[in-house]
Amino acid sequence: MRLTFLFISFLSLMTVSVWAYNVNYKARTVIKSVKTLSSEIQNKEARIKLLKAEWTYLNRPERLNRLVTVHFPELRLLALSYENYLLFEEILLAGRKGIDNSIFEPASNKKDKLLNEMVEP
Amino acid sequence: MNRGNFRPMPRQISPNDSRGQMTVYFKEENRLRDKSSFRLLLLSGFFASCFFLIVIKLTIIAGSDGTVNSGYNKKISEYESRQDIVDRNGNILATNIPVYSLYAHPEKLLDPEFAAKNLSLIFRDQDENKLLKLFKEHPKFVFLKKSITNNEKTQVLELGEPGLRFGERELRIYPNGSLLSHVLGRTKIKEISTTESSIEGISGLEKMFNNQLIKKGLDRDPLKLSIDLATQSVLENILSDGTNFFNAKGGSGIIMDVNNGEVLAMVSLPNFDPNLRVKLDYSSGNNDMFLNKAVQGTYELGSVLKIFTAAMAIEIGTFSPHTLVDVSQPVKIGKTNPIKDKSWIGDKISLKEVIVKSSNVGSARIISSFEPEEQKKFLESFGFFEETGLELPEANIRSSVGSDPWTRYKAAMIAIGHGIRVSPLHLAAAYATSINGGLKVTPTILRSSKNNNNRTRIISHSTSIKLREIMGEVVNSGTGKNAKIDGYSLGGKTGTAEKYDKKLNKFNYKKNYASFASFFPLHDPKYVVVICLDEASNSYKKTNKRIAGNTAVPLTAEIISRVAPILGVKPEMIDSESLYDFRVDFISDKGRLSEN
Repeated sequence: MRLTFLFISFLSLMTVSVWAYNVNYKARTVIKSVKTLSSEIQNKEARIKLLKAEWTYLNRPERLNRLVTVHFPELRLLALSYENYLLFEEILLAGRKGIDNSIFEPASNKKDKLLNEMVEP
Repeated sequence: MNRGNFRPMPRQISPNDSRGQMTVYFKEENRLRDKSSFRLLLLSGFFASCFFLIVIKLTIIAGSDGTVNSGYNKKISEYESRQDIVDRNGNILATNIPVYSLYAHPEKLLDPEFAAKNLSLIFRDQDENKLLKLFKEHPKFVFLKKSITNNEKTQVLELGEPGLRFGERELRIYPNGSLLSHVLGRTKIKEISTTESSIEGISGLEKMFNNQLIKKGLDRDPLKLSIDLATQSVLENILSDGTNFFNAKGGSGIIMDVNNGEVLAMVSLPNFDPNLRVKLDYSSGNNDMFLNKAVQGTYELGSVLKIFTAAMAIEIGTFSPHTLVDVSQPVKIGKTNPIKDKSWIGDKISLKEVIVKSSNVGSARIISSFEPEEQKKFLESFGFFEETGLELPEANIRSSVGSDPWTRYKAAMIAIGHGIRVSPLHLAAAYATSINGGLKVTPTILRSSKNNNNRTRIISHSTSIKLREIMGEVVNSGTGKNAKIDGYSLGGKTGTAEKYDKKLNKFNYKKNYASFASFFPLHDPKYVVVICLDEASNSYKKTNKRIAGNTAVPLTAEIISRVAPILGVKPEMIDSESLYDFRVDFISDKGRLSEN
């Protein structure tokens, strides 16, 4: 009985030792690969940072302004102005036909009418 | 002890017995067996201990979160890099790039002459002979370059010299160059060792938020500013062109949200490129470019401050915009020089016209109906005599009025904008307060950093509306009419102050400080714009070439017409004459008559 117990214990010990060794070995390999990966991540992060900085540098307003001027004949890009804003009615006007004529009336006329109504109650 | 049939016990027999020798044998065997049993027990104990130790260790490993003794996570969390600064839309304003320091161990150089010659070819600022001399004088260590690029590092590596070494470090760069230089500030590289360095802010936001920018940890966000890069670019370009066009010594400009005090653009000219890392040099006289004129410079701004005289008259006096004021005679207080207008304006004009025509006499006359102490308190409430609270180390200044007593004459001079030195930022904040409905504005350079729910009321809402109307009229028919633009209505007040000439010991009418404080849209103000020009002159005008109306005002008009669409301000689709009509409520778009 005792011999059997000792034998089983010994076997268990050996099995666990081998298993522990394997775990240890695998852990060391994983740590090594993690270190390699972390180094790679840091390199990639540094690279991304550099690329972002370069991208920002290429897109700096001063350069874009210069490019807009240089390529004006092809691109015809203009600075945003108040004329680029339209009234909702004017947007509808572009896409619909046979619509009530009142919406074709410029907004400034509407304001004038409104003003006259107020002045002459 | 019953051992059973395991092994027969030796029998006790007489020494004379022929089997006596066997007895000795059994005794010896018993002794050895006992000894072996003990050793076995010891060994078993040892193995059992090992076994339990392994079990305990495995239990610890199984129960751990993977960080025990790895040494890895610690390294990651302490990975230090100065944080980026971005604008309100996430555009990078300041970031780092990896660079290397270069140093040499001359005693390990295979061929010092070859190394010196090639290093001088790679780096133009290095002299071959000087390098050789350094290598001979310091055989142990020579520090060669603070920061070299990856490309330069490769070229040095190709020399194959084992005595040339590199240290990893970061370099702070500003991709937009001189744009926003005064706000971002400057940095310097602080050497810790040959292979280690840190970046330290020495002015602007870099200094103000130095500790926050180098804070360790993985959950670090970039420093987000209220600045809008596109708006900043437009302001800087137009102001730069304007200062050149008007031959101005310098200029400053601020665009601020009137409700939460967020600064969307801030320019001070001349500026500098923080990437060049130019040092302060008092002998070269280049220090003017490091001065942030928008927050550090205090000036006698002149008539732009008259609006606060009007505000006071309406808010704590019995004036309305239509109250008549006598401007027929200069105002003389005691034995002092009389305060007069440049030309005769009329006998009696309304308070509104006093501002629209920028009458010195009118403003002095209005303030004479108040006690000087009341004026002091009123200006104090706008925050003129305290720091603005802007998050810049340079913004720690207050308006100054001199140490002499606040007499009636002094009050009259302050009423016309003289005898008080104000920074453009103080002016922008006070204008925002006066036209946003009367709630105090604290400027900020950070995006949504402050809670603006519990703001102090400085003037009533109705006074604020009246001030809008008065300033709208300044642009419609007064000194600011060159600011009229299509699509947007704006209000504002001009100011042209003569600069004091120390050589002449008097005010020099040829040296002016022209300013225009404005806001848009007129009926629902969203942004305040302050433009100041130092000694500007419009050579295209025969007369009045130095007044703000011909310098700062047209510049502001150009800025607003470009900036308003970028900021998403809806244009007012109405003819330009009606834009300045205060009988129409443009906010609700219902044509409601305004309060007055």
